[in-house]
Amino acid sequence: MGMNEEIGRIAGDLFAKKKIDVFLGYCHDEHVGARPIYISSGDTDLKKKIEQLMFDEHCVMSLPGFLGRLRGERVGIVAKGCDIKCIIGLLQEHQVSRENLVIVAVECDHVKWKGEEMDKCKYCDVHKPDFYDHIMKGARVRDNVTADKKKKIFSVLEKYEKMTSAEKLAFWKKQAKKCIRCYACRQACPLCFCQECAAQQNVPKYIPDVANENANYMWLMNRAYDLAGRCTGCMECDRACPVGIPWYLLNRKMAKTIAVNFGFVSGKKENIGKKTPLSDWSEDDPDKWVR
Amino acid sequence: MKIIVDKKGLLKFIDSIRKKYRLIAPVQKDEGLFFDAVSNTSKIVFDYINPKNTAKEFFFPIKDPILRYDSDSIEEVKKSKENIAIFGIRPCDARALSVMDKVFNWDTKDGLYDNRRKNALLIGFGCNKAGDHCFCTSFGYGPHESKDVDVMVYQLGKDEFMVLGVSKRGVGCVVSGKKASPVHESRRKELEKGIVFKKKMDVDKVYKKLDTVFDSDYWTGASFHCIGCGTCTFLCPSCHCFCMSDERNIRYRIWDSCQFACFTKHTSGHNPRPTQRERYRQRVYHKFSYYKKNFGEHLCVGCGRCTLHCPMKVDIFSIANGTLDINEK
Repeated sequence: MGMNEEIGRIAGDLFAKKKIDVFLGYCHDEHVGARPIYISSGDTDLKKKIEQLMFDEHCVMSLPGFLGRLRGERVGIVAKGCDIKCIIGLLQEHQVSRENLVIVAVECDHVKWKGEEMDKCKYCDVHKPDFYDHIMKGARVRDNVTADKKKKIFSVLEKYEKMTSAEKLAFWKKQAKKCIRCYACRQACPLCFCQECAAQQNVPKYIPDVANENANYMWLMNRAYDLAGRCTGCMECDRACPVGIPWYLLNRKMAKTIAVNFGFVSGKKENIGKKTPLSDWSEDDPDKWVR
Repeated sequence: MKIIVDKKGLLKFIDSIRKKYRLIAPVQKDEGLFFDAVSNTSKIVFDYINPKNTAKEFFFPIKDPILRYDSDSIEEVKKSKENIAIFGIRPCDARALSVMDKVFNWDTKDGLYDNRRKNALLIGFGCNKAGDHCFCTSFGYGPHESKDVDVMVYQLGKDEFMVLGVSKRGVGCVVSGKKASPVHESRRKELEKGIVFKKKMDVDKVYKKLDTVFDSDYWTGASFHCIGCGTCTFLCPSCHCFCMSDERNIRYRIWDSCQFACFTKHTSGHNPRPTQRERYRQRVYHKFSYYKKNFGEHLCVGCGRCTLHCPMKVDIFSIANGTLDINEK
C-alpha cells in the first residue's frame, strides 16, 4: 500500500471508529496542485474526500496553524517533522490538548515551494519524526541532521553573522522598508495564536499602523522577540510574506541566541511540560536582575 | 494610428515620456518582479506574466496622508502635482483601475485618487501568454484589450512592437516609426487567439448562483485552509478597502483587508464576521456579486495573483466556480 492510500485508510478508520471529528490533510487540486483539505465527519462526500488524501513533496503548507480554530474538536492531522515541532510548541503552551489529537506523521525528504526546495529542509533534523500516533514511512528519506552537527542547523546564518552591527541594522532597516504590514507572517505562523495581536491594539498603541520604515522595523523586531525560543523554523512566515522579507533568517538568529544562552531548542518532545525560556526564570541565571 | 517599432525605438519612446512623467515599469528585484520607478529604461523587463504588485498602489497608495493637524488647525494635504506614467500594465490591471474608478466616485468624489488618475499615462502591454491562474476572458475582455489604457503596446516578434494611441492623451504622445499594415494587425489577432487559458468561468451563472447560497455549509469546507493573511487583497489590483490611522499629527489613509478578523469588529467586541468562513465568503461575494449589483461590473478581473501568491493555495476561481455545484435548498 502506498503512502497516500495508507493515510486514507487511517483517516477512514478514525472516522469509522468515531475517534475524530475533523481530519486535516492534503489533497491534489486540478488547478493549484497540492493544497490543504479539511474533512469533517458531517461531510456528505466524506468518502470521496478521504480518497483524495495524499502526500508529496509539494505539501509544503503547515497544518498545525489551523488547530487553534478547532478547539474542543478531536482532530486527526497529517504532519511532517517540522509540523510536529509546531504541534509540540502548541502542546507546550497549552493551545491544544494531546488527547484530542491524532498525529499522522509522514517521513519527508524535503518539500518544495514554487519549484524550489525549502531552506529549512537543508538543515532539517526531523526527516524521521519521533513524536506521533501513526507513522507513514517515506520511500527515500535523508538522515536527520543530528545534534552533533548543530552548527549545520544554523549554517543559514553564516553569511549574516559576518556582518558588523551597523551592517546588520542597515540590512534590517532595508527589509523593513519593504514591509506592507499585511501581517501575512503572523497569520501564517502556527505559533502566533494571540487572540488579539499587540500590533492591532489601540490603547495603548504599541506599534503604529502606518507602513513606514520605523514602524515596520518595530513590527519586525517585536515579532522576532515574541518568537524567540518559540519559533520552530517552519518557514511559513518566510513563505507567506508577499514582499520577501527574510523572516527565516531573523527567527533562526533568535533561535540560535536562545540555544547558546539557555540551552533550549524548540520543538523537541522533551519540552512538553516545560516553559519556554523567555517565559521562565531560574536561580542559576547569570543575570542578577532576574533572580 | 498604429506604429511599428523595434525594441530600440520602443525604449526611445518610453524614454521620451520620462520628460513629462515619473516612469513606473516592471523591474526585477531580489524578491521578484515589481512595478517600480525606473531611471534607466534598459532595466525594464519585457518577458513576464504580471509583476507581483499592481498598478493600484500608484493611485491608491498603501499609506496616503490626507490631513495634517495640531491643537488649533487642520489642513488638507495638497494634491500632488506629480504625473506618473506606467509602462507594462497588463489589460487586467488597467481594467481594475477602470472598475475601481466607480467606487471612488460613487457618493463622494475621491479627490486624491481622481487627481492621480487624471494626471497619469497608462501604457498597456498586451499579453502573448497566459499564466496558470489567469482567467480574464471570463469577464468579457481579453489579454489584448486596449480600452482602459492611453497607449497600447503589442509585441509581435522578438524585435517588433506595435504601438497604438488609444486616448486623446495617448494619441498625443509622439511615436516615430513606420505605419503598421493590416498584416501586422492580423498577426496581432493570431497571437491573441493563440493564448491558451486553463481557466474559464461562467461569471453570470456564478453571479446568479451566489444569490442563493449565502448560508450554505459549502463555505466552511471551501475556504477552511484560508489563514486570513490578506496577501490576496494586498496583491489584488482591485481590492480597495482602507482604514484611517493617525500618526504624530498626520492622518493617513492606509490599506485594510476584509480577510482580517478586526476588519468588522465592533467596539462592543461583537464581530459579524467571526471566522474565516464569513471573511472569505465576503471576498467572493464582493468580487462576483455585490460590486456588480452596485456598479454593473465584476470586481474581480481575473489576473490570478491571489491564487498564485496565496501561501495556502486558496483558489478564488475554484471556490467561486464551485458554488455552481452546490445542491441544497
